[in-house]
Amino acid sequence: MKLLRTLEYYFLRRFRGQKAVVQEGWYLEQYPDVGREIEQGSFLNADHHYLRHGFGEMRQPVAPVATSPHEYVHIDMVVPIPGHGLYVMGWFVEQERSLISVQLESSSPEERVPRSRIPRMPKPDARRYLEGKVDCSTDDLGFHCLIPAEVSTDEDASFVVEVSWEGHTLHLMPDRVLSCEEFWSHLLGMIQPGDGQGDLLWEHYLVPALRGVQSALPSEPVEPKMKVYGSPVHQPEVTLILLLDHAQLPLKDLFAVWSNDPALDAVEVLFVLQHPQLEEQVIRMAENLSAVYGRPFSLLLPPRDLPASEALNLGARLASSDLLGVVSPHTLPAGPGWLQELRDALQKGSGSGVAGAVLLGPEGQECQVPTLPGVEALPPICPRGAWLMAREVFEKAGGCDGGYITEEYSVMDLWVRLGETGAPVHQEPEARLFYLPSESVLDQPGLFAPEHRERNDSWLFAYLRGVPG
Amino acid sequence: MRVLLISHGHPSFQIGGAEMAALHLHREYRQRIDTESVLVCAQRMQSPEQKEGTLIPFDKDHSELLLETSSFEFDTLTHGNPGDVASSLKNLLESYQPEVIHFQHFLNIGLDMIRVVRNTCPDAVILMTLYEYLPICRHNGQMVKTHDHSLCSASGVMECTQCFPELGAALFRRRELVIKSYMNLCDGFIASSEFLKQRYIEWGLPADRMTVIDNGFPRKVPVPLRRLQPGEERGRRFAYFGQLTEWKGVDVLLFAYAMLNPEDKEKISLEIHGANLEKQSPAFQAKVRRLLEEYPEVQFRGRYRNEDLPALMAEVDWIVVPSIWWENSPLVIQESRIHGKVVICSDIGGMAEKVRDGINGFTFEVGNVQSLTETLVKASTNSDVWMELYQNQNRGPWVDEIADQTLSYYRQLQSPSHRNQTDIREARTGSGTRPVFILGAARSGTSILMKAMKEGALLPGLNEGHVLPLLMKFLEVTDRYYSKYEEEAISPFMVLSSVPRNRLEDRMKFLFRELQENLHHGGVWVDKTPGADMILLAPVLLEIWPNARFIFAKRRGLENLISRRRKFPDRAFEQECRKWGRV
Repeated sequence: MKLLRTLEYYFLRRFRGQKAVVQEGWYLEQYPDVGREIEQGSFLNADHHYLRHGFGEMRQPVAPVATSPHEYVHIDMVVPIPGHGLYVMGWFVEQERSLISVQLESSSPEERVPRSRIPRMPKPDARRYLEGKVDCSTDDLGFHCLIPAEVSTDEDASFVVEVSWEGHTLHLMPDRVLSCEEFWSHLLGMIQPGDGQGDLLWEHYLVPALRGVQSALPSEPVEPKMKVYGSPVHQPEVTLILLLDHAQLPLKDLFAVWSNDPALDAVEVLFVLQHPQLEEQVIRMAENLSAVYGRPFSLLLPPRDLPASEALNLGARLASSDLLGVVSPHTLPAGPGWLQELRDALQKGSGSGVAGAVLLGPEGQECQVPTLPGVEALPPICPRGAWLMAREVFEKAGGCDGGYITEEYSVMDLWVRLGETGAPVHQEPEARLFYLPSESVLDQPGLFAPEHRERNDSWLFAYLRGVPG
Repeated sequence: MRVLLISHGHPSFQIGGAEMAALHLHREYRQRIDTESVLVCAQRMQSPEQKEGTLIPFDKDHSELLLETSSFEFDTLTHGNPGDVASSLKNLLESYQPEVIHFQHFLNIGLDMIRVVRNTCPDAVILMTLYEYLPICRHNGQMVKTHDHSLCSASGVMECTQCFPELGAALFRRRELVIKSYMNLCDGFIASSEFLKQRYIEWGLPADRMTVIDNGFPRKVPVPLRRLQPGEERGRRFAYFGQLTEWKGVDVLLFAYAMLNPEDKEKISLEIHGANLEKQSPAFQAKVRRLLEEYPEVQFRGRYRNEDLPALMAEVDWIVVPSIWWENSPLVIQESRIHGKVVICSDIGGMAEKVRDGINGFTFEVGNVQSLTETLVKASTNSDVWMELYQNQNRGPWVDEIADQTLSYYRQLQSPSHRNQTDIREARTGSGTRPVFILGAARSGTSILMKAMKEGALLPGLNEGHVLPLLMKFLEVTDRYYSKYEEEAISPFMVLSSVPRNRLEDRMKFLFRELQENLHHGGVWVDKTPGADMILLAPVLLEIWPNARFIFAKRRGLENLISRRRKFPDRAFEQECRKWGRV
C-alpha cells in the first residue's frame, strides 16, 4: 500500500511540476484531520494530502499571513562597492507597508553605516532614482538600495542588515556577499533575453549601482579571439556588427534572407559574443552557418563577459570598413534594398541612418515603431533594427558609454550625444526591417499608451534627452 | 543530362505519393540513354549513434542513396542542425556535378539545402516539385483551419495567426520571409495540379517559373473487369482506400452510407481499406468506430499491402475519395486510374481536375454528406453509366510520359531564355567514358588504325568489335514493327500501347551501352567495327556516348577492291564490288 501511495505522490508531483507546495507544520496544525490520515497511512505527508485532496477542497497550503517578521523580509545579496557604498538587494512580502529602512552592520563594529530610509515607489518614479533624488526603490517583489558608506571589501567580510519598519527590527544575514566582479557577471547573466527578470531589474532600479560597480572593476582592454569563416570580403564597404547575447538567435533566418541580397556581398559581418560561457554553442552555430550559406563572417570571442556597450565598441574597433552598421539579430528584412536605403538616409546628414523597424501586433498587423510624442525627428523609441554610421562620427562621439548593459540604452545614449554634437539621426521608415521578438508585439490598443511607452523605454530616452515626462 | 533527385524518403521505408513519384522518375531516368540520375532520399536516423549526413547506398548501382538526417524545424522547414548534412550533400554535388537538381520534396532534408546546392552548383538548374501547401500553411500544409476544419483559401500572417494564436504573429512573418528566401533560389517549380499551381502563384511564386506535371507510374495492364455473380449488376460495389485520417474524410463516406434508404443499402456494398485509425484523435476514432459498429454490413478490411492493391481494386467498381482538404494528386486516384477503376471524389483541388463529373467519374460537394449520398445512389442505379465512365478513363499518366515532360522542362529551364549560361553544361553530358570508334569499309585500313590505337596510344580495346551493329538491326526491326501498327493506329487496349517505341529504343541503347562499358573500366577505349551498319549507327552512338570520337577510314577507288581480293581470294569478285559500293 505504501508503495502505491508513494507512486501516487510521485505522479502527483510530476503532474503539478513542482516541489513541495505545503507549509507542513502550519497545514497539519490547521487541519488536524490530515495528521490523522497520515498516521493511518492514507497519505505520505501533508504535501501528498494537499495534492490529492486539499487542492480540490480549497484548503490553504500555507499560512495566509506571515506569522513571523522574518517571513516578511529577506536579504538576497549585498555587494560592497569601493568608494560608493553597499548595494543591497532583497524582498519583502507585505505589500501594504509603505516604509522600510535598512541599516548595515558589517563584521567590524566601527563600520556600522547610517540608517537609510527606503520609501516605496511605483515604477514610473524610477526616473527619480536616476536623478539621484532617492537612494533606493522597490517593486512588488523586492528592493534595491545603494547605501553610501565606506565598507570593507575584504573577501572575509560579512554583513548583517538591520531592517526596521513599523516597530519591527530584524537583523538579517544576506544569502550571498558578492564582489563587484561576481555581481557584474551575475547581472550580465541575468539580463540575457528570455530571462525576463533581468530586464525588469535593470530598467528601473540598478543604473547607479551598476555604474558604481563598473567603475570599481579593473578596466582591462579586451583582446578577443577572432574566428574567421569563409574568405573575408576584400575592402568591405560596410561592416555590420551583430551582438550575440545568447546561443539560440535566429541567425540562419537572417542569413537566408541576406544571402539573396547582392548588396550584402560587399559587407563584412562581425559577430561579437557577449558571454564566453556560450562560446562552444556559438561556434557550433557558426559552423552550421558557414556550411550552409557560405557567406563569410567573423566571430569575436572575448575572454570575459561584455555588456552591449563594450561589445559594440569592440566590434567598431575591429571593423575593417569606415561605415559601421549595427543590426539586431532579431530583425529580418522584407527583401533586398534595406541597406541601400540606410546608406541613402545616412547621406542626408552626418549622424546615423536608422531603419524604422516594423513591429507586429498580436493579430499580425504591422506598424512602424513610434517616435516620442512631442519630439520631432528623433529616432524610434525602440532602436533595435539597424543603424548605420560613419566610423569617424562614432569615434567623435566617444563610442558607446560602457556604463550601459543593454544595447537599447547604450545606443539611445549614443544618439543623444550625437545630437548634441550636431550630428542628427535620420530615420528611414521605408527600409522595411521586421523586428520579430515577442516583445515587439503591440498588445496595447494605442501605440502611444503610457504602458507602451514605458515598455519601450521611452522614459529613459526622455530622461536622457531632457524632455519633461 | 545528369540529374540529382532529392526526396524526403524512400518508398521501401515510407510509402507515400511523393516518395513513390521520385523513385519512379529516377528509375525511368536510369533507363534513358541520355539521362543519368542519382536519387538521394532522407532517412530519419534510428539511433543517435548514427552520424547525421551519412550517405548509404541503397541499390547495387549506388544510384539510390539514403541520407541520414535527424532534426527538422517545421516552422521554417529547415534542417535543425544542418552542418553535417550540408557537407555531405556538398561532397556529393562536387563529385557528381549534376546539371539539374530536382527537389522532389524538402521535408527531412530542409529548404536550407537549396542554398547549399545553389552555392555548390551555381550554374545548375534547381527545381522543386510541390505536392501540398507546407510552405504556405503551417497546419500540415493542408490549408484547413485549425479551429473548425473549414477550408482555408488564403494564407497570410494575420490568417495564420488566427489558426495558431499561441505562436504569435512574428513567427508567421518570419516563416514566410525565410521560406520564400529559399524558394527564390529555384529556377522552376512543378505542381501536380493546376489548382496547386494557382495557389502558389497567389502566395507569391512567379507564374513564369511554374509548370504543371502530374506524377507518373510505371505502365501496367489494368485489372480485368469484375466477374459478376448471377443476377448481379455492375457498378454497385464501392470502396475506400487510404489512411483513416480526418482529412481523408472516411467519416463523410460512412455518414453518407448511413443516410442511404434501406433499399439502397441493400444493393450497395461498401468496403473500407485502410489503417492508422488508432493514431487519430479520440473523438474521430470514436466516431468512426461507432459508425462501423452501427452498420456492420460495411466491410472494414483494415490495413492493406501495396502489392495487394490490384487484386483488392479488382473486386470493386467505384473508388470513393472523400478527402476534405485540397488534395492535389492523391495516390488512390492515380492507382484507381492505373487499374481502370472509376472514381467518386470531392469536388475541390487537384481531385476535381483528375475526375471530371459525369465524364470519367463523379464528384460531390466536399464534406457534404447529403451530396455524397445522392452520388452513391446515382452511381449505383444504372450500370450503363458505370460502363460509360469506365470507357472514358484516361489511364496513366505513365512515368515515361511524365519523364519526357519533366526532362523537357529541365531543358526549358536550361535554355538561354531562362538562364544566361549553357556552354559549360553541354560538355558535361554522357556517362563519363569516352569511346573512340574506328569506322570504315572492310579493308580500308581500320585494322592498322586499331593497332596504332592499341600499341601506339596504349588504349584498351579488342581487335574487332562487331557487337554494336546488332543494335542497328534491332532498331531497324523495331522501327518497321511500330511503323506497321502506327499506320493502323495503336489501340489503347493493346499492350503495345503501353510500351512506347522511344522507351523500347532507349532500353536497347541502354543495354548496349552497359554491355560495352562493362568490358572497359571507364575512361577512353577503342572499338573497331568496319562495315556500313556501324557507319549508319554513328548518330546513335553519339547519342549514347556524347563524348565519343570517330575515326573514319576511307580508301579511294580500286585499291580497296584490290585489298579485298588479296585477303579473301575465294570470294566472288562481284560480291566484293557490291560491298565496296555500299560503303
